[in-house]
Formats: sequence, C-alpha cells, structure tokens
Amino acid sequence: MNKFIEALFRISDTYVRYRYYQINKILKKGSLSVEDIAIEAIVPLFYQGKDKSNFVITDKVKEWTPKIEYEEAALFFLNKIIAKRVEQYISSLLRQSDPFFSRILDAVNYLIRTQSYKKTYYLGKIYIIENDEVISSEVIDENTFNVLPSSLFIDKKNLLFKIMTYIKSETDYFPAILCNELVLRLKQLNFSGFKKHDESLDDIEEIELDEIIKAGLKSTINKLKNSYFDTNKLTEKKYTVFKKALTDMAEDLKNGGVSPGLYKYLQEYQPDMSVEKYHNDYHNILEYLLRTLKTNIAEELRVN
Amino acid sequence: MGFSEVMDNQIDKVSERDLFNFVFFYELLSEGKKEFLNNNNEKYGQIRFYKKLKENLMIGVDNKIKENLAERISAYKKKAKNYKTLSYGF
Repeated sequence: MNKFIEALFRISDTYVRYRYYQINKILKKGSLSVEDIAIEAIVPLFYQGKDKSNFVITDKVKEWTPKIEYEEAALFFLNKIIAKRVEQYISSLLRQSDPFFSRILDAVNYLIRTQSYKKTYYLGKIYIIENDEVISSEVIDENTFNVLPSSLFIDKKNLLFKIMTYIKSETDYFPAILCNELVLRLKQLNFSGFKKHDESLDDIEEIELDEIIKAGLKSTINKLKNSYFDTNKLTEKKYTVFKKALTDMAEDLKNGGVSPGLYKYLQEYQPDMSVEKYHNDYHNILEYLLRTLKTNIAEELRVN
Repeated sequence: MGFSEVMDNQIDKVSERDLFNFVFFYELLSEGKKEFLNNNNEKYGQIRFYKKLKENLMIGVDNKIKENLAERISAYKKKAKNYKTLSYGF
C-alpha cells in the first residue's frame, strides 16, 4: 500500500509542479510547499468509502468505465483521477485565498451555462470547450494563454466566443480555453467588477480594484482597532505591525491571493518574533482578521 | 469507405489516452498512430508532460515526505511491508 500511495504522490507532485505555474508563484511567498499541495490533493482518496472497509479510491475504481482490467488502464485511470483531484484542490485554494477569483469564476460559469460551452478536465486542468466537442489535438498552455491579446477580454458578453474564435483562426491549437487561467487573466486585466444579483455579465461594471481593496482594508483596520487596540489586547507597536501585515495581505489578495503562511506577514515587521510565539499569541487573531478582510472585500464587491 | 481509410482519416485525431500510451505503453498504439506521433512529437506538449511524469514515477520518495504521508493518510504505514510491485513502482 505504501508504494501505491507514494506513486499517487509522485503523480500528484508532477501535476502541481509542471501544470500550475500560477499557483507556484503564490506558493513562493507561503509556507505551503508543492509537496504539501500534492499530498493534500490525494488525501480525500483515502477517506472511508461507501463500503466502510474500503477507501474512496476503491469506489472510484469500481465506478470507472470502461472497467479497469489491465495495467495500462489502471495507470491511465490513476493519472486521470489524480489530475482531477489536483485541479479540484488547487481551485478550492484559489477560491479560499481570493474573493475576486471566486466572484469572477461564478460569472464565467454563468457564461458557460448560458452559452454553448461546457467544461472538461484535460491533463489536470479545466478547459472550456464547445458543446459536443472532445479534445483531440494540442491544447493551449498556460504561458501562451497568458499572452493572448488583451483586446479579446474586453467584450464580456462575447468573451468566450471571441477567445475561441481567435484560437481557431490564429493558432493551431484545439479550440479550448483554460478556465482558471481565464479567471486570473480577467482579474489581472482589471475587468473584474461583477454584480451579485444574477451572476450574469449584463451588469458588469469596471470597478477599480484598488478602491475595493482600500475600502475592505479600512473596515478591517477599524475592526482591529476597536476589538484589539482599544481593548488593550494589543500594544501600539503590535497594532502597527498588524496594520502593516493586513495591508500586505490586501495587496496580495489583489495580486493573486494571500499565501497560506500567515506568520511571514507578521515576521516581516517583527523579525524577532518566533514561530512558537506567533502560534501561541497571534495566529488566531491574524486568521480572524484575514477572514474579516475577505468578507469586507466580498461585501464591497456586492454593493458596488 | 473501408476501415483502414476511416482509420487513416482519423489518424490526426489524437486522444489523451493515445498521448499517454505513446509515452507509457507505446506497443499498444496502432502503427498509424505511432508514425503520426513520431512525426509530430513536438506539436504535443502533453507528451513532454507525460515523459516528465514517467521520469518522476521512477524517483523514490524522501523520508520527510514519507513522514508527511503517514501523518495525513492513515493507510500509509511508517514501516512498510514488501509487496510485489507493478512496472511503475507500485
């Protein structure tokens, strides 16, 4: 069993390492390593399955069609199942770490549902393709997708159509759009104001990210002051350190997401703080303030 | 149109499974697919990825990762028994 789990880890690790450049950039600042992500992605496969003596992965083997009878089919199945798990785990990390990502993804999903598109897993990534298509040739990679002309991303109602048409007419790639990378590109291009009412893109307005971040940060710093400084739970020096850390977190939220290693945000402004001291005295406060910051930003997005 | 003509027409329709087999189970591909993929190898980034995956499957796992696996997955035992393994290390 150990060898089997190690092989699953190796598959997972390869997907994280070579298919997710974007997440690697976010990780560079945090304490969560590529290996940690690769492990976390496979953990749910070893939860208890439907039959309590089995694991989830056993159920998946039984459900897989066509039936797995040969080594070739088994290895291909494992490759597919791990690729999907990695994608699901990384998507959930992106959603958790970035309220903008979540909002834009909802809007892109709305476009997929209401126009003639569907999502498909391919080599550990979610691609948007036209209904009734099956990927049958080379697909666009992350680096190439990220340098597609910005003008393709402006007409939000025809977003998918425009990108798809460009890929068909100007490249040799199969017409497929990288889903999460599309969301990140939209965010990067600052076309990210989405009204909550009906998830549609009809109400899209271009909202300045900076303004939203600033407003969300201001409310969070007020919370910090009222709940921790005014009540003497934090000294003035610590209050200033927290304020600076929150400002950095807000900036990271704008640029891709907060890195999971929160300790580093405080350590930046108080280098003599030990990890132990941080975990005993400050981790819960910072985690709570980060949740508050995300909620405040989401609220700003909702009302704008 | 005969079967071979149909196959010839579909030879440039390469599935994910074909690319996977090209790297892991070459002998299972049809001669037409082998020839097509050998001639168009560079066009497919997926092949590069699967080659990297094949390499990585042959690499052992260090002790720190073994400890982390044992911590997170109860089925992973710190002291493993020796089982008969398949081609790719498990």
